Amino acid sequence: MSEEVQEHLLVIRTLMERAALYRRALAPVFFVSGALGVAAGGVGWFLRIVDFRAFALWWLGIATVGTFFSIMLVRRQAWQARESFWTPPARRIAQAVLPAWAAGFAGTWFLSKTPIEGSLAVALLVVGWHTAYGLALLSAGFFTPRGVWRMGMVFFGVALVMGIVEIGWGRFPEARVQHAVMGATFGLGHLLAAAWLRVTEPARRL
Amino acid sequence: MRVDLTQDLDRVIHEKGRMGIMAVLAASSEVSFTDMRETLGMTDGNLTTHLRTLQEAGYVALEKTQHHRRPQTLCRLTPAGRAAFVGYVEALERFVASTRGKTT
Repeated sequence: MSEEVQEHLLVIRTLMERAALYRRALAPVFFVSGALGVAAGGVGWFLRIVDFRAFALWWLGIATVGTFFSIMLVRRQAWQARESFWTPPARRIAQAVLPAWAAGFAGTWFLSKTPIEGSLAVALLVVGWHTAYGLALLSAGFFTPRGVWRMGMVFFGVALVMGIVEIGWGRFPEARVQHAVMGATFGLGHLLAAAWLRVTEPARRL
Repeated sequence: MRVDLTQDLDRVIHEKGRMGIMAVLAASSEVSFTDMRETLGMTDGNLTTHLRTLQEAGYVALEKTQHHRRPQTLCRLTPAGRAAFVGYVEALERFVASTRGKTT
């Protein structure tokens, strides 16, 4: 009887660990992405990376580094919890995120081929990236905690406001200011989300 | 001290499938029906039956939502469900502790 009860406890602990894995993985991923975003915004501002191509390459490089570290973090946590990395939920999230992610890259490439340049090109890029990232989070939010979906709505809302003010009304700031915008949304936004996940994480011990 | 396991355990939770559902929900704020089914490896019918039992006991709340025009059922523990699950796990731990005391 005691063995049976111990087995029950083991099953409970295993299931709770498995269920909490992605939520726990998300907080450090958001923290690293946020810290990287704030640092990249600051460096971009001080180094005056204002040329369209330089701006695009700088932030695409930051996104690539951030994605690499995020995958490593999730992989490490899955390995520590003796869970497989490529689970059905992980596959569904990747499938949901990829179209918007690819659209962001394709949009950047397309914009680089047009005669548009200067601050307007950078403004279009920033609006496009916020839209693509917002859509990616909204798609992933279908399978993940509701907070991710809400974050997607925030990014989409920011893109909408910037699109109206900067593109629609033609009040786009100089390219340097866009580093501050990117640092605030992709940097501070992710740091706040990481803090929120940490604070609201359900108690691990039951 | 002798612990009477049969008296301490919540009969609603003390079933393999329902215990699994409660454990998964205790670790997350909310879980979709699809994710729950895949995590526990249950069939739709089996999971629906267990969720209904837990809902009738007031342990689980189900919310039908819609995202991207696709229906989605979200499951979460109620405060009563969380309290009941904590009590259940504590009862199991008390029993294990009492049997360890006897063997050492």
